[in-house]
Amino acid sequence: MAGGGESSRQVQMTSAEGQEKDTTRMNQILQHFHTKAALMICAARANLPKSITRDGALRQDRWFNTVLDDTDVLIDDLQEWRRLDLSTERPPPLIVEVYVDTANLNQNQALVITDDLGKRWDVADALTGSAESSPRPTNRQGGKFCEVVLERWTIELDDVNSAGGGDRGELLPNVYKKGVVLFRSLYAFLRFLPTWKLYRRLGRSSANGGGLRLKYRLKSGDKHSATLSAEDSLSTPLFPSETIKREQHYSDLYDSDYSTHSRSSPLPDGPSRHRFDPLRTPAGPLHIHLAYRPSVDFTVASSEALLSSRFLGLDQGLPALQGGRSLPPQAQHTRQKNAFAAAPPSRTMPREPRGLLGHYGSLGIYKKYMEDDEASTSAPKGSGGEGSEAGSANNNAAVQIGPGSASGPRRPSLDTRSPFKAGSMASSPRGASFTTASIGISPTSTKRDTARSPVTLPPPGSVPVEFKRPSYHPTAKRVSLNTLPQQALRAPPGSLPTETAIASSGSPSPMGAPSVPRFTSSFANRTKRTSSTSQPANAGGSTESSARGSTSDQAASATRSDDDDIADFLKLVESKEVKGMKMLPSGGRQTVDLSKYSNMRDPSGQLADEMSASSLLNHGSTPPSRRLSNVPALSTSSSPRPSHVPHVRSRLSTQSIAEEAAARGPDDEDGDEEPLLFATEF
Amino acid sequence: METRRPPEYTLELSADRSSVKDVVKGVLHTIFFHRFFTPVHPQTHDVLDLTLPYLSEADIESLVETKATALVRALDTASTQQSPQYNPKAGRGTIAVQFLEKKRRKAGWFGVKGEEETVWENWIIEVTLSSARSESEAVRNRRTMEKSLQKAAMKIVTIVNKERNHIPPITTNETNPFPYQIVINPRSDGWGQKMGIF
Repeated sequence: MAGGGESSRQVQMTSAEGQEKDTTRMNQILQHFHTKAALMICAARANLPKSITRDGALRQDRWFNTVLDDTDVLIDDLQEWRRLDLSTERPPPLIVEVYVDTANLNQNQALVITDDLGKRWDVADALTGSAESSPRPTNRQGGKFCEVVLERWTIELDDVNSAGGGDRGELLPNVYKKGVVLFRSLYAFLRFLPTWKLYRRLGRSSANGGGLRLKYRLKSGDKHSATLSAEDSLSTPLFPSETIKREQHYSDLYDSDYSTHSRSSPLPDGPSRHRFDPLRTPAGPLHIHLAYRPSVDFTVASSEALLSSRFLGLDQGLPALQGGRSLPPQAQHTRQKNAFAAAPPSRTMPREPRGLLGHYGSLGIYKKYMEDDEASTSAPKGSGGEGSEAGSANNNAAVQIGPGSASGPRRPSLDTRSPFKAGSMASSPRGASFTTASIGISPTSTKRDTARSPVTLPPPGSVPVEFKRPSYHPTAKRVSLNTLPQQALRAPPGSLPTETAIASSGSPSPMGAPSVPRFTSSFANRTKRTSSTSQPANAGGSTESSARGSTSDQAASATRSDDDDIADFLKLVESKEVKGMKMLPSGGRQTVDLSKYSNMRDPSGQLADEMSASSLLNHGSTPPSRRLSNVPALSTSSSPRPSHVPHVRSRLSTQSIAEEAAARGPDDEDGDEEPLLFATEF
Repeated sequence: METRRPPEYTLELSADRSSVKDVVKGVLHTIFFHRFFTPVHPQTHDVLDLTLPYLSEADIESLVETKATALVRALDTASTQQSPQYNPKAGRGTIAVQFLEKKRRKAGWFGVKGEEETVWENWIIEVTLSSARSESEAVRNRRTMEKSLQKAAMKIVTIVNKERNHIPPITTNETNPFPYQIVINPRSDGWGQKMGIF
């Protein structure tokens, strides 16, 4: 047992004083448990404005020995817990919801979610399909309004007599000590969740124009609200295979040894859950529960493109799916272009920044994005009509790859795009060969799949679900992906490297799963295109585009065997020309044909810069969490208040100062609140 | 004296040669993040596209860097050596993190009051080096690496919450109350020395 000095000091206090002190401390712990949890959660999901003390110093919450920058925007919402006093009443559960909505989308935009197969689903449709409201809600711009809750956190003081409940004998210093561990783990856990990656992706898309943002709200809940079933928007499946995704996510996250202890339940219906072991206090156990969606791959799509895609999808006889409508998985641009496929190939269409293409190691990945560009500009190379990816049916990435010289300069660089490779692989040769290999692999898997029906969806089980998750990206480019501004949003992130993700699938044909669908349909609908294969400069790109060249008229008729096409593709892809090709910046070639897409543009130059920056980020030169303060203000509060009088916290300070004076040196006024009960431990 | 065996938690990591150091450092920082009881301003560090907590305490940073380097060296040696005195499993190594507490001995065995340090927690990290003979295998390995890292990180979070009762009382505010040490490839018999037994 520890120093006699401490114990003697305690002995000197009268029991009444001691009790009062304990009560005060207990209240403090409860208050700060709630407010700190809310602060920590919101800070990891939104860019909270900093708060400055009267002296101009940064206000920080130092409770539980975990220092976070404080903010004023939560004060009002947290009033009920800031003045928590057990002698008056027990606090209600504090609920923090993290959600996205379409409030800022314009009439021509829709919120879509991409599933693991790369298919995109209209979220509003999926939600209203399950709701009974007949008139669809609209936002201010007249577009469809919907909201999807991504996470629901419940912070709750439970009855002292509840199961696994309080511990009347627990000393407050011990409570505090264990609280430190809990808050450290909450901090870490917040960054393991899928919504964290979404937050970073949205936060870095400076060109987002406020279209899609993570938002949060605080509210108080009923007792035991954590056990109530989550609202529809949190648990409503947005795409058919979502329940599979939930199970997969669960098994990815939890080690089997400890799965029973994690108290998370992969119920077939309902959201994923996680429960922190309660912090047991004399007043009862303090719980933090979470219900969340493992699939949060949201992007904004153009409504027109969706509409056209749907129409085309119907032509292809897509299987009827519950809830929302599915879109052929594609880079968004592809869809847009395909929507107007009727036009002759030379028609200019909105294009992916060419710069993007150079940053991904795999040709296959780029195919999708090159499609648009290629498709529209290809014309000559004998690719026939580009046009719609209609043929692509389900999951093909309508990779419209324009043949011809146009695609030449766009060969992705396989060796020199260090931002992506550097991040994850120290040895560049490896990275280079890696990316090359991925190109080679993709067609192989394509081959295998095209043997089946052109519109076959690989069975969900065969597709590694993690595919879509940004974290499972094979190369560093995945990390950079998070920093892609508009790019990431326009093209379903999943369809970006992650999808074609080389690494994603552990199967023999790693690129197969995600890229399989893409290649599948394109090849299936391909018409003969020998000219493209004669252009080594265009390499895989051109082959792809020719394959994709299938216009709507070509529909499902394949005039060449898929295997032939794939063999040609393979040859091209593995030819030296391909491997030696470098991407040239194509900023100048971008044309904004349709003004409605203008805000989805992202100059390739900017993209390149961001990618370079992201490589630094990936190296950890600046902890990502620190950089968030530079992000243009995201929505920070559900109840914005322009100016707050800084809340005077002296009420707590005065109580704490006497206790902590001996143990602690001078600190700012808020620091005085910090109990640091360790000092009074035995 | 108590001779209770301190709890031991095992994490398994798989990594390729180019990432193993970052992966090990990330896991070590995550462990320390939950065991450093002085006020900490949390930082993060991305490893394999996973955001892990990072402690920017100079002592921890340099120790982690040193030990991770040493482990990589040991792994390299193990994979190239066939001698039985080295770890026979090529490409596998263990790094262990121990947390100790200082206890004042009331009556020293030597008649002198002193402080004794006993281990109250062991983290065993078993690292397997993966190597790829083909690009597709490299892809698979990468996937496995990411998964193993995520699972290990999540396991740390689960363990530190589930097991909170064995953390010794904290008696000091100024410095981190619990000394720590990192051991590379500890031999099984080496544990006895650290159990408080002389």
